[in-house]
Amino acid sequence: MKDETVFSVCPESEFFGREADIEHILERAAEAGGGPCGMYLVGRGWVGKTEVLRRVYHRLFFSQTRVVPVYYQFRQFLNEEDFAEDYLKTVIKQYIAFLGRAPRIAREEVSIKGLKGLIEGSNMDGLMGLISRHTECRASSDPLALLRNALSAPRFISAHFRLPVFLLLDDFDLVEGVSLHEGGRGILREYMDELLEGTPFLISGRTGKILKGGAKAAGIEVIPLNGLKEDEALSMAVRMCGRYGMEFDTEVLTLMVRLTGGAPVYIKNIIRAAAGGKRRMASVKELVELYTGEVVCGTTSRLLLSAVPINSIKELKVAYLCANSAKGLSVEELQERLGFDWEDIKAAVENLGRIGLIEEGYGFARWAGDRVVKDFVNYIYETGVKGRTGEEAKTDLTLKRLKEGFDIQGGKVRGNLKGEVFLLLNTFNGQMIPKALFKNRAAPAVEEAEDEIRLPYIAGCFDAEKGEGAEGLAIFAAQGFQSARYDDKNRVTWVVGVRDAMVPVSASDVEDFIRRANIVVERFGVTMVARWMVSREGFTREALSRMGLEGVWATDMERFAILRDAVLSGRGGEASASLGAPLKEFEISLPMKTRAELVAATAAGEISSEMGFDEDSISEIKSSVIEACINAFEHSKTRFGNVNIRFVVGEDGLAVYVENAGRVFDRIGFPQGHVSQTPALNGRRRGWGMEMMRGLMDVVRLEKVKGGTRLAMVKRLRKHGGRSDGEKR
Amino acid sequence: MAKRDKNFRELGDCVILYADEYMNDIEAERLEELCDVFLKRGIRKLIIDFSQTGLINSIGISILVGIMDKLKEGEGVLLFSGLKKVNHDIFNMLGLTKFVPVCKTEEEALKRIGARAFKTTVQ
Repeated sequence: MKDETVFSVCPESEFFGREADIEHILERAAEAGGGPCGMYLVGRGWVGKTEVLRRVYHRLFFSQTRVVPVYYQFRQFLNEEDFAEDYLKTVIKQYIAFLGRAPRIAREEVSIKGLKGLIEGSNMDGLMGLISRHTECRASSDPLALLRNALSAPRFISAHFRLPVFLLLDDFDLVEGVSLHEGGRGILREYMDELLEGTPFLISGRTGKILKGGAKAAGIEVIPLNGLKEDEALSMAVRMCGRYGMEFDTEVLTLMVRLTGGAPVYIKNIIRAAAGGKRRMASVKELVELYTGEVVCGTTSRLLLSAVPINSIKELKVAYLCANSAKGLSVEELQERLGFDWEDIKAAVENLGRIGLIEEGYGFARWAGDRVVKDFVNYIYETGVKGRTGEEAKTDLTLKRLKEGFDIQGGKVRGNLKGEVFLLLNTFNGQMIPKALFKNRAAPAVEEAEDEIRLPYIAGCFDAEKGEGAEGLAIFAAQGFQSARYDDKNRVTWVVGVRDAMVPVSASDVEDFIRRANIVVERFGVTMVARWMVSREGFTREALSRMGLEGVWATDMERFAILRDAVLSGRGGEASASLGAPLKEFEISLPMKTRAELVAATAAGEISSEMGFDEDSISEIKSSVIEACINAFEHSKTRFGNVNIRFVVGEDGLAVYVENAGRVFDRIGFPQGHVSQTPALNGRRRGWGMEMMRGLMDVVRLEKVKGGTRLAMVKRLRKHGGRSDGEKR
Repeated sequence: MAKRDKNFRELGDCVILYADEYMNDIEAERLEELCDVFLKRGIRKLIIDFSQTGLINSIGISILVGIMDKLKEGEGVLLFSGLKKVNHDIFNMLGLTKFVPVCKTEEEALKRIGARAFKTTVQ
């Protein structure tokens, strides 16, 4: 029976992020057998309140026997008689269904006559009194008695059969739409009075207004339900797309989550529409087309038409004005702008409030719907009031959302560009890079190939002006050394301007950069300076000409991407050995004796173990240190000197420097490739040391130092286990 | 009858050589010498077990490659067993595993090499 359902719910694979709320409600419901219990699930439309209530109902129906769940969803009723009858029938049939473990009964539509048959068939004659009273009240046209009989049904049943009813009342806000007399007040007060008599309940609604002044005093727990968190909604979207085998881009799905405010119903509708139309969600354009299609004529549009009933053009105009007003509008302002009577405005605001589109407070009517509903209202206003064609209004909406989508997407990239430049500067570490990536001038490099320049060894980088100028030009200063010789002669400062805007850098921007760069240079008293500008949208012809004259390097986004890849992949040089500020340093001096390298390996093992490297990484570090040591022994000029090993422990990993007084390693050659391809030397194939170290460590670099060679190796620490971040294999 | 020495174990037509904890030039040369001895005796099935080996350096590997060459020339069969992960990675990185099958355990290697264990005694 557990496989059956009473009400339709979404598939498990599409249900996300509400488990904790459901568990909490179930816990409270379990307590309900012992006394009063009231909960109010409040949240705007389409965030999944109905889904939560129905899932709670199913859990109570199929998994326990202490309380009888009764689910009722309010609808727009013409009069109280229809409501009273519908409510009474629902309560009785669901009670019988639960006791008889027959979900089918709860699902069936049934007349009063049919209900009598059900009662007789299930030997629950005690319920017959409720039916008789209902029939009598209806015959005598006594709406108040009719209503009270229906509302008291759960309490009556609980008392009569000594098994409490747990009421789940969905869309409870609509109860205000049920009135005893035409144009009279709603039945909310009667309903709340009845509930507070002791029937345990969970109600859902869009606004806290219905509980004003009473919730806390009555001990009703308010449970807010918002849209899914971005990561939860994204996870749901990704899984759905995967299930449909749909091509998608995660960034586009993130954008969809934002457009829909994380409301699961909207998200599911968009994805289903894409799947149904065999479309992709791989670009902003594709997403926006699907979104507008849903708002204008899709499943979402049909849902909104029924769930957000706007009864008149006047209501539509009020809704439109409020939806497009950031602060809300007073009744007087609405009167002035629309020319309606005060009563008409008031009635419109009240009705829009009931359906959750507007909230009234302090004399103002404010938009309370979500942005999807706002787009929907705007669309029907454009077509229904302004007289535009559906296609025109849809195009208008598409363009707006496209612009927003690109803005969000662009904003993300813009936000990243400065950060990317900053990070990249910190990874400059003597790499050889094609000159073409820095337009305009040759590098002030000590080593320079014909078409390549050597990047400096950057020691530190900072925001030179703490922020950016009015023109959006951020300026960084990066200080370091032009070669691996860390002396004053080699000191260099790179002043970098990053223009992260949608317009190219102009000649006046260049002037501004030069002026500000000069201030930086003066402030730090540097002698060797490189000035470099990076611009998202490139440079105007005049700007490039000016930069050429001034010797300012220029890199546009395309070149920057290539530069970043080249630097980070270590192409033309080595990857960064930077591990942040050193926390500890250890030094060992080894004599060039047989098995002396084991001392270094043992030290490396101890240090890396202490740092938290996993066993595999520790073995890799030890093997690399062994290799570095025996290479240093082998290539030393003398057999009597020592090999110095320095371990630098950083926050992000371990750097090992092995230094000897020997020849330059890389001039004697380190063969690449497999053993079978390597020529034999003195009967033994040699030269895989570097290959081994490169395979085992994240960074392996040879540095020339005074009187010898230094080999630098880095192993990055991965916080959550597994391989290091710089994994090469 | 199987014979087990500290550094090797004979099983009929097969011999298992046990590598030391640190596979450097000295250890690799010892293995090479042993290998020569058994080849001269006509044993063509050789397993080198590295289950005790934590560290291997490139000189050791170069000598190991020499052993591989000798086995190949002598039309022998060579298997490695018991390699720790890091050493397996190194062998893989340098391409040794392309030419020499690697088994997880000595027993697996014996099965694979088809040793006629306990049937023939070679001394």
